[in-house]
Amino acid sequence: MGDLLLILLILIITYFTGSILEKNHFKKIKAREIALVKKPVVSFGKKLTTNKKIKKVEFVTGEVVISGDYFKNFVSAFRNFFGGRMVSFESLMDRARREALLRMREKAKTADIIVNARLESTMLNICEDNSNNLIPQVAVIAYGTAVTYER
Amino acid sequence: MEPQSLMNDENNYNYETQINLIEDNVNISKTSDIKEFFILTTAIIVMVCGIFFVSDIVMQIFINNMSYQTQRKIENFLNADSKLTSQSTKANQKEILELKKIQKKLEANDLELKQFKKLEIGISDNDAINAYIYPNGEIYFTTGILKELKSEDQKAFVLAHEIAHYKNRDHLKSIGRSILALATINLIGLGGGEFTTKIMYSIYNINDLKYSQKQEIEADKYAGKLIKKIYGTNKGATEFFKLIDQKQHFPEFIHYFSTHPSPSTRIKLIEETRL
Repeated sequence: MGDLLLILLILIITYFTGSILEKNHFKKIKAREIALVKKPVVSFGKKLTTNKKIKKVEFVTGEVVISGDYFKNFVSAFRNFFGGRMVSFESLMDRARREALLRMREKAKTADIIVNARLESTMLNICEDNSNNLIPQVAVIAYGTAVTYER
Repeated sequence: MEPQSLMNDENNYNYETQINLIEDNVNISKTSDIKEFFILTTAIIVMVCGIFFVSDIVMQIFINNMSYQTQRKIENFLNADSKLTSQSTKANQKEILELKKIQKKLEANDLELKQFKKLEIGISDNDAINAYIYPNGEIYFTTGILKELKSEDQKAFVLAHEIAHYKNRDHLKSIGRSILALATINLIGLGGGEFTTKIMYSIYNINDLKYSQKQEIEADKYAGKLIKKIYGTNKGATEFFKLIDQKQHFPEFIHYFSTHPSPSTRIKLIEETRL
């Protein structure tokens, strides 16, 4: 019984801390997205045809490693049992993807366009012994080629 | 002709246009985490309770219809070695003899008890106020409880309570249900991971506590009635529980998570048997 009460207490605490952190993160992401909305433009297309003189071409990456809080992991463990959409991880993945893109764009702040951008994600804690004690951790990597035009 | 591309002409980027940010995030479901939590937790609890009750019903039917010979075979398998010699000392012989005398009285007043083998009685050198019965039918009194039991009817009550557990086959029911329910939980847990299994175990244990309290109540009722039949009153038992209540002095809510009901509940139950 004691362990259940302890779990409940941790769940309550981590739900609130997790929610606050997530809210703040989304707020920051939004502000940064607005700040970067004009430049650099991100294109997932491969080709860039322009008449402008190119000043600099650079490979840029943005990377983020993200993990769910105790509450999210708890809910996902149960969801894993019944199956269905992992609602608790959707916001987490959204944060990771946007954060990775933002980091890449921030790195190429002076560039005009990032072409051939790609997003990749990978699980960090895949154990060979197929242990059940996996902590959901995911790395999202955004990369592309930043192009700066001559002014 | 040059390929038409969004990127080939800078005029395509109209920076002066008002920025319209997409407020609605399609990547995140509208369902809140907390709602998800409640739905899934309820589902797990309902499932474990279902497993518990089905295992309980199956075992009740099986064990209630089991012959005494089969019961003995299972008991021997579960607990082949007697612990009496190692725990009882010669100093306790006087008390054991007294308890055996009471046991005879109890057996004389409930003919059903005669069909069982002679239950051995032992004393365990322990200050805790407790008495217990092993699955092989050996009853133990701690030295702690013997100090508190002042009169013969009080001792008889405790003994009758333990005998009632044996008579009701409570030990076999608990073991049988645990085997069936925990095996099912483990099988189901294979798909849900270690953590889910652990949580299901904890929920099962709460169910088990409630069930254990039910068994204790039944044993108290039986003992209360039998003692009243023999001694004319079972006031000694209520006095004993009052004493325990004073000594332990736990808040009422603690007993909710205990294998035994609170002393005050037990006093009420015994008083009801007087009616």
